[in-house]
Amino acid sequence: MSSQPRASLVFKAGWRHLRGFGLQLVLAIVGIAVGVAVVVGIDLTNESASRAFAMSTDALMGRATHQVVGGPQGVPESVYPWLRVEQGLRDAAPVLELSVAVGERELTLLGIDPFAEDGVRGSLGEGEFDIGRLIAQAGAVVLPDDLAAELEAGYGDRLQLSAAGAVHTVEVVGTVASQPGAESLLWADIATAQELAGRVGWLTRIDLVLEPDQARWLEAELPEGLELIDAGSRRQSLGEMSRAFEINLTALSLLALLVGLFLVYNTMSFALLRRRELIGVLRALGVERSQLLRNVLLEALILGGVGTLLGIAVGIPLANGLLQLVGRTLSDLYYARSIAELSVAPLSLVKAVALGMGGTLLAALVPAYAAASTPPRQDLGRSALERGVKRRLGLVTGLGAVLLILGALLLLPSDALWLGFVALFAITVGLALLVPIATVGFMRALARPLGRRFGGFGRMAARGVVAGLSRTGVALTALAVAVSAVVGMGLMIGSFRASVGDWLGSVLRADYYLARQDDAPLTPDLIDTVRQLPGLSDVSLSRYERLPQEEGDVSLWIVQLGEEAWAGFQFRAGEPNAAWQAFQNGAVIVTEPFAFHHALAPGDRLSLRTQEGVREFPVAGVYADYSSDRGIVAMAESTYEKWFGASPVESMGLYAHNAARLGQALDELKAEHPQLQIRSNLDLRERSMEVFDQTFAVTDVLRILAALVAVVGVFSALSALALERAREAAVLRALGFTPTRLAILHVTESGLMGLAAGLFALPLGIVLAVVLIEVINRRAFGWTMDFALLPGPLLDGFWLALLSALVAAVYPAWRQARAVPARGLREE
Amino acid sequence: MTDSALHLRLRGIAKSYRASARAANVLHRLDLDVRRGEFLVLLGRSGSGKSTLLNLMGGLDYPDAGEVYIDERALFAMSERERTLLRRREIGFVFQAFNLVPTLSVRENVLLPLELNGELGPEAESRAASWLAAVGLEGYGEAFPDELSGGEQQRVAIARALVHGPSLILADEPTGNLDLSTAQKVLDLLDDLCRREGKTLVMATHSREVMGLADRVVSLEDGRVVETAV
Amino acid sequence: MRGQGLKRIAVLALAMALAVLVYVLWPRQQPQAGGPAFEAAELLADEEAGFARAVEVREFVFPADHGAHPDYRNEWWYFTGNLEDAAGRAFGFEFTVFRFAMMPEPIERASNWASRQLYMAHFAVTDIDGERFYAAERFARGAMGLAGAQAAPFKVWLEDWQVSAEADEAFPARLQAATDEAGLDLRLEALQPPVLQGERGLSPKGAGPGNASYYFSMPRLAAAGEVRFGGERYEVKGQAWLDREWGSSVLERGQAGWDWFSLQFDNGAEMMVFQLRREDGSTDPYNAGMWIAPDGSTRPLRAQEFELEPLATWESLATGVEYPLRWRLRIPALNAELTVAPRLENQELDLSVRYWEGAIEVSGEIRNENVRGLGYMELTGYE
Repeated sequence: MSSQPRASLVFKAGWRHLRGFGLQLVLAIVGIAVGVAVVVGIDLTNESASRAFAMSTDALMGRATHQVVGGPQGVPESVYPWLRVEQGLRDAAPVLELSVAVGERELTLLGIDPFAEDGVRGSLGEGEFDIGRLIAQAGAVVLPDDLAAELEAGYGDRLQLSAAGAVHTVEVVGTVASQPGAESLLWADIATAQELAGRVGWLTRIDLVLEPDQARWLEAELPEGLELIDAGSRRQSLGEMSRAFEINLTALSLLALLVGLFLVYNTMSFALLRRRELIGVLRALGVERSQLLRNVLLEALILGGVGTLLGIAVGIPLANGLLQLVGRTLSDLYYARSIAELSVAPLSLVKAVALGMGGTLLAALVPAYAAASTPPRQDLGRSALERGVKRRLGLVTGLGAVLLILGALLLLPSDALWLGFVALFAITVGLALLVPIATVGFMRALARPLGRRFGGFGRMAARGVVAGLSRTGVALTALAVAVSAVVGMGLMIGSFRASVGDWLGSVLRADYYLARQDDAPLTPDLIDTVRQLPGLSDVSLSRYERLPQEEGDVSLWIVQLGEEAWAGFQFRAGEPNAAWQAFQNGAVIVTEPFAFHHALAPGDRLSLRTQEGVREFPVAGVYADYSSDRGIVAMAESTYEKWFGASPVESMGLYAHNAARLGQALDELKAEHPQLQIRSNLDLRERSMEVFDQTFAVTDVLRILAALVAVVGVFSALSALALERAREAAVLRALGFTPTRLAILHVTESGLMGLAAGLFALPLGIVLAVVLIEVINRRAFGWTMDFALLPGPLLDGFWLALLSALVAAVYPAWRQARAVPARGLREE
Repeated sequence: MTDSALHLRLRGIAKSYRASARAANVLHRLDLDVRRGEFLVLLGRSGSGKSTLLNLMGGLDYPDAGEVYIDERALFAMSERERTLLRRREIGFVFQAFNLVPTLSVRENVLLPLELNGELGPEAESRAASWLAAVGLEGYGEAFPDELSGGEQQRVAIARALVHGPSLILADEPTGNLDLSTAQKVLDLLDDLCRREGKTLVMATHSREVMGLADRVVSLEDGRVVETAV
Repeated sequence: MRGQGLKRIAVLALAMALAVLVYVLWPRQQPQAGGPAFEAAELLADEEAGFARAVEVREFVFPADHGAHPDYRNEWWYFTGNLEDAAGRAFGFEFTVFRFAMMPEPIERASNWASRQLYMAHFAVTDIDGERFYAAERFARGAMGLAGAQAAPFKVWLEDWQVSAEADEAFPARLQAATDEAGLDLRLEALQPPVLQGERGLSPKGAGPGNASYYFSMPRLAAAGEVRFGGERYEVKGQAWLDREWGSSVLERGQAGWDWFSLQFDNGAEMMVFQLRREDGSTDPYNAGMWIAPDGSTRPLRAQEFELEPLATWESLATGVEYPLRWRLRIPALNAELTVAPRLENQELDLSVRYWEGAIEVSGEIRNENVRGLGYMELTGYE
């Protein structure tokens, strides 16, 4: 106790100072918590999404090291007993995979041999089901618990299941524990699956657990037309499906991290700025620098700890909410699986703690060191402080310029996506660091006209922003960065949307599109009927198919089309007329992402496994397509028939010479065949854009979140500033400022900040959009899109900045205006 | 302006502050009259309530009970806005800590009360300039407050307090932050200007040196006013 | 002192953050995938209605009755035997194929995978001198060639575990079963014709009509071939026993399990006895046995004609179940008093059905003659 009290009193002095400003303390914690929460929220969403993918993959593939796959039809079932009985490969499990639906709910039905699951996939896990009925009874299925609850189906209940274009009645013969990643799976015996799919005699694939020498042996022994593929590479390709989302979310997570760090730094440096006089006094009393530093860091630790815990507590439910959004999009567009489970990835929480605690400590360290280094009793007035800020301003500006140049250099041609991200990050931070100097210039320029128009009042507002830069600079920068992200994302999505719209306009040439609602093949009779319809000039026929390949499924688009349809393709590489000739003679054309992922150019050859083994197909052209980020290979129907066998038609494009007559005839056809889905060109285009907008719905929410963080930052900065300037406000009141006028002054100041942030955010946003479009998207997906400088996102961003700054100012200004002036004067 | 000799009348003023648990009575049913053109010194130890009393006279703080009449107008019967407008036109403040607006230049600080009263343009500029000259700071107009010494800052504050022609000047320890010789100069200036313009000057201080200049000296003791011989 | 308190708060905040971290990072038990997802008991516990039943005495026809009887709910081919290599190292083995019909009627479905027959196979080998015991189990459907049983040429199999005739006759046959851990490859030759158990092959198990099975045995098969434990191979010879049984009933209410013995005496005689243990401990009237004299003549043993008395029990370390492994068997009619003892205590099969089935040795007197022999014992329903 003899030496302790001194240290304790120093701490107490600081702590009480902090505690004395209750609002300040709350804001500091809220600032840290919000930053941490957003990072945790986005990060966990990201982790959960990718984990869900991994688990879906596991649920589908289990421990399998290899798979036996065949041509488009699949694998003949006789291969399985050959493997298992004759060759004694017991770690072999047959699968027949089938997309089905119960009502609106889209599901994947896995036809399995329950006795073969052990050791390979263990699909059914734990649960209760009647194995005898599962195998022996036609139409018996087993559901995971969650799905059973969702469908309100239990043992013995019947479900109407649509599969392969027909509706079947199936019976639930048991439920098993839901496994993460397998929420949209249901199981049936192979026999039932074959019968539901109408694919008696076939399997989708056989999963195997093989030793390397067994694999080599089997590769040689497999019957003609079958292939043994490595499950590892397949797993990887399944993982790539989710990459698009991960990349989007990663970008946002980085952004949130940046804004979060700003926020933490903001609050901490504030808390210390407010205390510089106290620190001066303590130093004058002989408190050592290291001791001051230690105490400040201890405070930061407490604030950081509480803020981090709160942030994690808020972040997890936030992630849950985001996950619902992401999950819906993912299952809608990428993969018929939903992500219901939030997995709390330890790494995300480590990140959160590092940000919350580390960020707070770091943020506290810089100002604490600066404050502690001040010689005792050096004049602690504002001017000295602002002079310091001006010195730092030079440093910050220099650093910003260096980062900007570095980021620009990193944009040099390369295919590395991570480099693109580093560049993006560097450019963002670099530009952000230039915001303060730009603000100073902007306000100086503004002071004169404002002074002319509003007199000293206007000048005060403009100069107030500059004068308060040590407090508002960080908030201003955070606001600008958040808004620029909104602008950048908005421009990117807008440009993307415009490109997709263009592309749809060009590629959707037919007047009507016809398919069955369940995507089942169209019967030859029906196709003939359609060909006879009045008003029709031409038809194109097409079908999508997934070709299992070593490096993952290849989406094949089998088309039979006329020149009119061909003219709709936008070629990015290759000469359309020559490509047309080649296409009809066995060449394929590929989409831009496909060409990007497989490094293909016209003149190259693409290997595909056909019914007759692996064949090489010349690539005649690369065309624009935004419907799949993994890419599509288009092949003429005649080519397909030659190498893969007959191709059923799933959809038809109808070209009219008399659209009105054709439309009428189609109405009649639809009345006769209610299962048909007939969409007009416009209809399909609208639907496509809807899907597009839905895909990016999640980014909207995240943009709003980023903006929210910035508003909280500005709010916290202004509240602190208001406290700081209580005396100044009191003097103004003494001079005869009415409360309203004072409030207007402060709101105006904040509005000027918002104006500045909004203006600076625009070029910053444009740069971000260009980098996203030209670098990130191209390196990640291979999509080319035209940058469109749309006024919408720019205006949105500008208003967002201005409004959030104004909104954030209202409460602090109101509080200050209401304060009794004498109290402000008393505070020395 | 009224013809009444009484400029300021305080009746039954009570004010207490709640510091921690116990309330401290600072002003205790205090009555005080100030005549027009009078230089009144409020004497008292630190914490005797001098500043509080000045703040109440200027309508910067609210009494728990009692009323302040300025030219027989009840200050606390007014709305906040009316009170502010009265302050804007008729009262000038000089503070111990100068309290110039740091973001405005010296000239702009002096212009501020004029601007608040709607006086703009060349005439206002010249008035500000002449007041700056009057306090001996010609040529300092474009400097910012933090570039001036304490005495210079307080002189700017005096110019700012008088520029718009208020009839009542409230000065709270105007020399408290200044060295002895500077303090004397500032005091003389203030006295000189007020007398020349016929202003009523109420000055709170704890230094007895001022007493020689004052018309009347009162002390604050236990929250009450005690007349003190000059 | 206040400062101390504040420091404590800081430490506490840190500790809380740490605690949250530890909680989140702590490895959690993932639900175990794998392991049999179903119980063999579920295969047996179905409705009996509609299945063919063993009601009356029938004519046994060979080779047809070596094959499957698909309309009966359950059926098994039960091979057990004692083996020895040239150096006298002793082994025991069990290889059983069970068939279960899931539905009484044949099903008509498009898929070749559809089947109402499920097969289960148990394979166990005992290295008596090495005190090792190994058991494994498999399941498969009776379709796609994955499992099945046929009479001519005789073959019963589950994947690559199988017993198949060498030629037209059911025996000699080759028995093959192997896993990575152990293997069995034996040539089995019939030394005796089939013996019909019970009343000319109808073996009642309870009072209800049809609570019975058709039951015959091949009480002595010469076995020769190879036993493998891991990488160690032993060339062995010995004698085996085949039990064939099919029916649609399971244990009646009040029956807890059974104890079954097959004994092959040195003098050429064989004996089978089983008792159905009642939950109340009383003697079940449907206990039965068969004495096969060296000359091949048979004499059924009725419940009241023999008495089985447990002498000593052994508790399984793996499952904690206590099994009576030493028995005294008295058959006054044969003037026989025999003692049965396990050749190795741990021959418990902890599979989807848990039971003890293992090699035993027998000694004692029959008709005033000292006899010795080997055999197999099956103890089920112990908990």
